[in-house]
Amino acid sequence: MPGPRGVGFGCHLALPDVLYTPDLLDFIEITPEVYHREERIQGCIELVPEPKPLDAARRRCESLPVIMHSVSLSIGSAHGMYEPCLRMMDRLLTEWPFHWYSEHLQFQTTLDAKGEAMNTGVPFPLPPTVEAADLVAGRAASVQHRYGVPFLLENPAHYLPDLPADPEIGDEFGLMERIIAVSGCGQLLDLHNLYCNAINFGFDAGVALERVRLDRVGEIHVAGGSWGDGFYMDAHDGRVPEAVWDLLEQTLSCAPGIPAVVFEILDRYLERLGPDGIAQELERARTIWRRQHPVAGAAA
Amino acid sequence: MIESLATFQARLGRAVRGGDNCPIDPHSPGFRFTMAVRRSWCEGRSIMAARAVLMLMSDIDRQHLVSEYVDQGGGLDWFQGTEREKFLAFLASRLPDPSHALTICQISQALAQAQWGASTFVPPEQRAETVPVERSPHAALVRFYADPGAIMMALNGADELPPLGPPTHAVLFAPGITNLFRIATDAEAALWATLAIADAPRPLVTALLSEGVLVYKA
Repeated sequence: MPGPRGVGFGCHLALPDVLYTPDLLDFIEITPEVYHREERIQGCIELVPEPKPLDAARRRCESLPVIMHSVSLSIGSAHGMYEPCLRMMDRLLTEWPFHWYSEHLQFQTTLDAKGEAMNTGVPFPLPPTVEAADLVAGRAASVQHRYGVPFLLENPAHYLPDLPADPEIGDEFGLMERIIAVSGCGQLLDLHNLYCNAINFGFDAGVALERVRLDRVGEIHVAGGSWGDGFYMDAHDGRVPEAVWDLLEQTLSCAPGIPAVVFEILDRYLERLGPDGIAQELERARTIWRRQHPVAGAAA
Repeated sequence: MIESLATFQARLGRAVRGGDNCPIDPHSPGFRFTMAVRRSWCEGRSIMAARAVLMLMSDIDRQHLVSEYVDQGGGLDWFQGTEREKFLAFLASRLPDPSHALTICQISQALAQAQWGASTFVPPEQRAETVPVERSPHAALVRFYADPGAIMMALNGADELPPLGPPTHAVLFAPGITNLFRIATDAEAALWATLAIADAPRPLVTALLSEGVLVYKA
């Protein structure tokens, strides 16, 4: 996959510039919704830029390549994707070019009794059915075509048991596999999400990795989480668990062609880890990545 | 026979908003935990949207207002700006008037509107005196009921909130004002309140038009 290779991090404006140098990072992952707001323009909802934070983010990213990771597309909503997100990405493609684009394999809007789209409040997983797979595959193919850059879908973490399933799809791995096969898009393999689901649904994440099309993985996410009410949560609230680092080692040793690893943390937990702690997590990701990419590592 | 994706999603959407006929066992630990996470996200988005206002309330009042807002379907928006606008509007309708919390709420609303207007603001060309004017939708006048410095110290956690008194300062917010706000004069505050343009000195009206406090009617 063309584009940046190595370790990336989100654009957190509260953090010091010193974290955003090529010494520590190879690229920056932008969540564009953070710099936009919804506005009704001529009866139509649009995502319009908030100039101050957007300019600050662009200055922050001046020295590094950028990839986009949106959160509002709701690619799995049966009634339709969130079109303002697509129009925002149209504009960004020319104003702030990106090497690839990713979204989450989930839905977060449904229709209410009046037929109007409502936010669900949390994103939900798609049932592993033929209908869901084919719906998303068609949309993913059109998104990839629309922007002319690779489009990746992220495997989500969730806590819902007994989703309706078609036997030929089976589970979340079958769903992703069929979408990738039909659409031609790639996967953003979120190892922390995989780890969460493995704990909460009682399967072995290392074994499950064998069912992931690693040849189609264009990016990996790692993050931290925590326990609550007997569930392990994808909280993005701190350091990456050792088990997830192990999964990263396992993944990259099986598929050294995977170009990119991103460490994720939510803004509200930045203070908890601090710039030094964040730098340590990035260094560790880079050490693992370079171990599997010795030539690229030496060149970098 | 598996139900359609649209039916599954509609049922799940209704269930998370308190409806019945959930397609997932609503008593399962996984569904109940998902609902708890959803509640926590909604409350978290609301708190993030109005942190400064909520800081001026007691824990009980804060929890009560956030809970009431989320119970009414608030906290769902993914966009912080949109959520901020909705939650501040809710708070403005619930907070005692006058109160320091309402003042900070109105300042938060006014700043957001002025910032928003500033991204496209161009001072208008002067028109005939007969052209009617109105308040800009991106402008506001907010009154303080104690020394603003003392309220800011309380917001910083450095001091207790001062007691409420008569209005001390009126602050104008508008997209064309340097730094988006300044103290209003008595004449400006009166003009803002009454819009009695015919009785106001023309230079005052012109100045407020150039700062985007007032705008010509379309």
